[in-house]
Amino acid sequence: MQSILAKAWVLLGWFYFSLIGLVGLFYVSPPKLKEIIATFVIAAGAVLAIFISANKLFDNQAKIAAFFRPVDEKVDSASFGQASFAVELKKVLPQGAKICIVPRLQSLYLAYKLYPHVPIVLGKAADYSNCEFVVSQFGEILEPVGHKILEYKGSYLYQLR
Amino acid sequence: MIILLFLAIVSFLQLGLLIDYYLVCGRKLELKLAPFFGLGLGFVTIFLMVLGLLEVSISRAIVFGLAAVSFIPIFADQSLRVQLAEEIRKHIKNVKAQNGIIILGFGLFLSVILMVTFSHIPWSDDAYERWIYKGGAFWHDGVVTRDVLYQSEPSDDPILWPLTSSWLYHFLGQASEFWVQVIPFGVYLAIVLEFFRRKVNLLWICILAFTPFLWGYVVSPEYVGSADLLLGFFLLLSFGALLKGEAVYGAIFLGIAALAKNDANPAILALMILFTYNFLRSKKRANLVPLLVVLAFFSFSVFWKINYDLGSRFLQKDILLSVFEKRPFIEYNFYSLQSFREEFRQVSKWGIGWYVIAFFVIVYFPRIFSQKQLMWVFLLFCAQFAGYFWVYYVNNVDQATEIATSISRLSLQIYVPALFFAYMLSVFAKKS
Repeated sequence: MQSILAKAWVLLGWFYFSLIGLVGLFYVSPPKLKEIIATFVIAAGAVLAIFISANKLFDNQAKIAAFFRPVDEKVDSASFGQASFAVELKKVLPQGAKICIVPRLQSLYLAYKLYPHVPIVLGKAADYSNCEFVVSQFGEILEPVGHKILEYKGSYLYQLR
Repeated sequence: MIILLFLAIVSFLQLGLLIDYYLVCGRKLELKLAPFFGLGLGFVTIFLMVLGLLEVSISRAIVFGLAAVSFIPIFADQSLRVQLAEEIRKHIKNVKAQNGIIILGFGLFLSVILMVTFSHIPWSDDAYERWIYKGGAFWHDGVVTRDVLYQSEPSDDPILWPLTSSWLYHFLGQASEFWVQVIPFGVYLAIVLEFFRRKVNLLWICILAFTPFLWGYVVSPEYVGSADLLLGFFLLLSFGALLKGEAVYGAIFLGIAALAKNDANPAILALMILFTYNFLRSKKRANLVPLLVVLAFFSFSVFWKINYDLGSRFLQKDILLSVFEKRPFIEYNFYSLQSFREEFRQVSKWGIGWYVIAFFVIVYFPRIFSQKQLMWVFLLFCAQFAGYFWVYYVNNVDQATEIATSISRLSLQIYVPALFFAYMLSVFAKKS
């Protein structure tokens, strides 16, 4: 019996148990009490939502402060420098070049910023055979992959052929 | 930039106003910002999709020209001008009649959300693989192209979010993942305003507006780039209209919802069945119009997918062999059910929003079947849930991973209309 109750508590917790209790109470209550229960549920919902939201927003003070920074700075900082790296890459990359990106943190973001270039984000076992240029975010490629033609804040562009 | 951003948002509202005034409600204007915004987003999407089918590209000058042309009726149509002025006067009077502390408090809350939202950019794989990626590409190319549609796999995602963001980019003159966040922010605001327009009790509006995951979706870099809030918005407009007996609006907004995300398809299919049943039973011409509207939207959506050979990830499976044989039906769906049970009690995400919904749905459950509107919307919710269970059953990814990454977003899609449904249920119950 105890184990059933323990399991029920894990599955339902105060949330569903109190819901069942309130619904039961509602059914057996006279109309006036029914109205009070319904109002109580709505009021509790509103108060709790405001309380949790206020707490969560209070935790976001650093972000609120960040709002006042210049837009370009915010974009570059939020993209770990990849927004400005994309601008530099676009200056160097010829149209229609076959570009590959070594998969790192948010390579998809860099690919998006490079449009109309459509780079291939390489798999874990990097195969450079279809690449003319290789982009490496946040670090150099240790194996020899052509020559480095751009270095920007710790990210690199290599030309293979 | 702020002015251009403002112009872009106003263009959605203005286009929505024109469609509503001339095509839907027979030249009788009622100022309803959320439906105007929804209609504007829908019109821009369909317009750009048609241009895509015709392979006609669009430029910044054309977008500005179209937006300018959309303002001509205000000057040329005296009836519209007079009604609009009257409606604006009425709304200003209504706002002035509201409690100042409430307006100030909500204004302050909105400002904080705005500041948090515009302190970063969207930051998720989904955003840069699909939604925001496609938006930037459509803007750059000036037209929907096959290459871009096939860029992400599977490629069957509807493209309302990318196309409306490309419209915004035309105004801005650049593809900006930073400024595009104004659309989700606007959608959040429109959802709250729709509750105000429907004269929902203030406590219910507080539950909605302060639900942590609702505003949290807008301020979160991980979520803001996805299309789930848009779907929740259109489902609210659709289900809200159906609950008020406005069948044509219900059909239009559910049709637009299907252009925002595939997840709306179960509800649109269910609505088609309900409208067909209603028409066949009554044989009234008035009941034929919403059926034709919803059929038109659904057919357009299907035609689009067939034309571009986009397929559907959840229907192109050899169900008997690859799914039913390998996956025990009851156990898998029971696992999904348990996941929803667990999700709904996440108080840090939902407050006790789901608790409130569950309470009112349970205590007034028998009344659902006494009102046609309530029963219809209830059936649409059932269809939506059936769709979610189906998706979790047939998905390529293993079920636990799929649920972990998507259940909050799916719950958000139906949370807003469900809260409105619970409110309406309590209203109907009081009346009777």
